[in-house]
Amino acid sequence: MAGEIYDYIAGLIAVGMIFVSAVMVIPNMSYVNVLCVDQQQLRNTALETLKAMLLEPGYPADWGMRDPFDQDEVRRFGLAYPDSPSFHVLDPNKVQRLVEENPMGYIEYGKVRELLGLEGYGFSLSILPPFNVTWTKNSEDDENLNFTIKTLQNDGKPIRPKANVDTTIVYTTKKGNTAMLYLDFVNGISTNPLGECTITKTLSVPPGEELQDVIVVFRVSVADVAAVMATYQKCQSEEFAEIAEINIVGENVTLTIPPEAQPRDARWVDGMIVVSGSKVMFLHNGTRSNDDKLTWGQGYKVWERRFKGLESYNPVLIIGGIWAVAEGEGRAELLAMGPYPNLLGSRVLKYGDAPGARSATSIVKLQRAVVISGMTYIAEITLWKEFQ
Amino acid sequence: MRRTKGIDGQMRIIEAILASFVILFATTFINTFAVTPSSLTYETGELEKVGHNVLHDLDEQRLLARFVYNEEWGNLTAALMVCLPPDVYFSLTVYDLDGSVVNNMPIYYGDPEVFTTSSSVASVTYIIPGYQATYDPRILILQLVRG
Repeated sequence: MAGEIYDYIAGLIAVGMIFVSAVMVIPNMSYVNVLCVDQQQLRNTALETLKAMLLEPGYPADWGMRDPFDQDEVRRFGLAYPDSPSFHVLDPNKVQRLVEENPMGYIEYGKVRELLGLEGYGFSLSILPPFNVTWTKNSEDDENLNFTIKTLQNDGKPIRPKANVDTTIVYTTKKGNTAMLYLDFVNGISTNPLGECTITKTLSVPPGEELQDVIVVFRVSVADVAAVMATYQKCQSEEFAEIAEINIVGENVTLTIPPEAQPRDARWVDGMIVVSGSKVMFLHNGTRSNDDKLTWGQGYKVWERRFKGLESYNPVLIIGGIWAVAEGEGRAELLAMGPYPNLLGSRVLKYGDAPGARSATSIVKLQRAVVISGMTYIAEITLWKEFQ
Repeated sequence: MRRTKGIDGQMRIIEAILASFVILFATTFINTFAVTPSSLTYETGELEKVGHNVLHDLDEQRLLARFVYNEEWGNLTAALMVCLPPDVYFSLTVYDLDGSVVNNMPIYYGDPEVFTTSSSVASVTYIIPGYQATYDPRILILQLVRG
């Protein structure tokens, strides 16, 4: 009888040991599958999120055009152009609301997450040009431009067979109190097999006129897929944004003075140029009257003007010639450009909680080609599950 | 009378161990049949979406028809290269309605062998009805694979 009991005890211990080892081994065996399921769930969520963002216009359908903008009026989130019969065509007004620096108002990350039902998930979104363009300024002489442009694919390889670079130079001069806004072009320069090319140009400044500011706009195209970006050759003010911030809402162009701007003397909008993916056009000729005045004073804090048909022109950049006081130099015809970050060739540099991805155990990255203002960009979403 | 009671306990142990092994083997066996989301399926599904999206985007910009009908194969290759993610290899073949290959030079990026050796090749069919009001359809077959 006692021997039987010992046998049972031994049996129980053996079974217990087998059970414990099974508990440890079986989950490990199915861990890969569990991981797969988890990853798949994350992918499905990312796909649905991307679909909602890029294919839905949201509600109200014109939420990006609201001025003044109140994010609480947005009931459903989506970036698609409401009237487009095609897929993946995004509304530039909505995209611009993802830029935190937008003085016309932006939609917060938390609000978008709530509207998309992504509680428990983190995401970041960027809308960048389809290829990488960098430029080096080789000349410090303001009248003699010399730039080296380097165009690479996003993986760092040179673009074959070539990229074409068309350059538009916008510059201002002054003679006494009279200011002039000029345009000049260098077109049809191709990159070499390393993806590089050099742009040189000597500006023509009429006798008696003094060169003020210079902005150089590069339109780089690969098989007619284009990216537009701009830089300062000469800039009277240390920070270009100090003069005025330029934004577009629908057909309205808005200039505001950034809070940190110094000095704060009155400024007048003398002229305005619009740059699209394929054209450059004069948009406004100022009169130095109160209609074109911008100051910290009551009634002139914001300069806003509606340009009928501007939206159909697909504006990418607006460049303004502004009669303003440059620190230590008196009045000058200064140039400002916007909206940010269009001037860098991108639409959204980073929206969302980009650093949050670093602490995530698994992340999913998806990308799609999208059309904004008639130009191709790459929208990339990174999604991850947050720790609870 | 034979005494069997003394080995009853030992038999139970053997039974229990055998039963445990049976359960363990059964679990392992079932596990091999478990349907889990395959990353290959995801890859091809996602690549198909990416491929269609890029062709549609080029078509939207009115570039695709121009490249195909003007036989700008170099430009078409470059446009696909910049619009597709850098780690995606592609091979595009353009057919007419008779099923003849129209592109007289290969349109591809990456190692062409990868399309025959890889087990997860995504394939997208895209039809262009014509160019400049002329009905003359072209069928584009875009194959994609992660490099």
